[in-house]
Amino acid sequence: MAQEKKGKDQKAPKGVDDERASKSAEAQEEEHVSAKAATADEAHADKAHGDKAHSHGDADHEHKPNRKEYWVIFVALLLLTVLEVGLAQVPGISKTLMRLGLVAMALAKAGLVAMFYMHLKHETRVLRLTVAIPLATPALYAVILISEAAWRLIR
Amino acid sequence: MSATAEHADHHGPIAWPKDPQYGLATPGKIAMWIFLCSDAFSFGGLLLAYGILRGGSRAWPPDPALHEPILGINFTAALTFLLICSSVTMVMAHAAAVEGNRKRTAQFLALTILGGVLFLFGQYQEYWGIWSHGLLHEGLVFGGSHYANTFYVTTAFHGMHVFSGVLYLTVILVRTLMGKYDHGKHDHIEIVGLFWHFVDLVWILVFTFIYLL
Repeated sequence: MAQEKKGKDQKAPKGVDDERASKSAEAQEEEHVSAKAATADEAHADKAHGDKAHSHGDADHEHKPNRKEYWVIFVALLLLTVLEVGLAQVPGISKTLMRLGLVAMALAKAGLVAMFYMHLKHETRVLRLTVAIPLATPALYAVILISEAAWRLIR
Repeated sequence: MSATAEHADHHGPIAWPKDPQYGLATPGKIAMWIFLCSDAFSFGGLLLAYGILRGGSRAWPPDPALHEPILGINFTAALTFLLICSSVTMVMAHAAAVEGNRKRTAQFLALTILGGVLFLFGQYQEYWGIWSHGLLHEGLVFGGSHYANTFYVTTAFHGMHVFSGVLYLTVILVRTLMGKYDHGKHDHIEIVGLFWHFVDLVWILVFTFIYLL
């Protein structure tokens, strides 16, 4: 038993020391629990860990951050911004075409930030819808109310 | 005993039971999303007011006699770039926190805060001018026209979000340095990230609707 505990400590010396150093009562209590559990039932804990590693798709487990993906999104956001600024300054372009292009690119950028940086991609379908449906309603209002205002003008 | 053993491999917070609808999203995360939805309605209302007033005007700026300045896009494009960069440092802070690297988390959080502070300086420059004349000096006066009002209300409301985001990030940075988020307890870092990315997301829309269109 004592040997097992020692082994565990050596495996994660930093973690345990840090926790001991922590003044937080909460952290200390957790340390007791985890140390006790680790020594008493290490095999079980390992099994649980193994199960976790092989477990299913998105939102079921903590998602490992993908730095490469973050950089790809960064480049995409940057390119879209440059395209937007360019499109806004193209001489003699049709206003309608320009506006459609700009709004489409802005929504694409917002979508990229929400999906990848805000991790909506890894959330459950229900949480995605909880967010997406309320966020889509102002767009609906915009179409109705702005066209109404424009219609009053030309009436 | 087996109840405690289940947490043994976690080194941190007690694992939430998996919710059938929301998976492993913590209550804090769901609450932040709900807050962000309500915050999006505030911005949505302001942008709608802008759209309606602009859609109902024959020209924009509505009154050419006022000689209101046209908003510069190159400088604000740089501010957009700055916020996008600070979003990247934010996700990197979260990635470091997931890996339990307190020092890197703190470094990236500090960079994110720096991005926010620089953005606020940029907005100060835009309004009042630090190295050149600000919009106020150039004749874009609050109360002067729908054009001036919608611009100031929307961008200032966003600026207040950047300011509160900087304060929020500072609190999280201090707590990170205190070691509060070690051993897998990085949920708060993801939640502050949600707020910060939302501020970035809103700016992407504000930049397009107010400056580019």
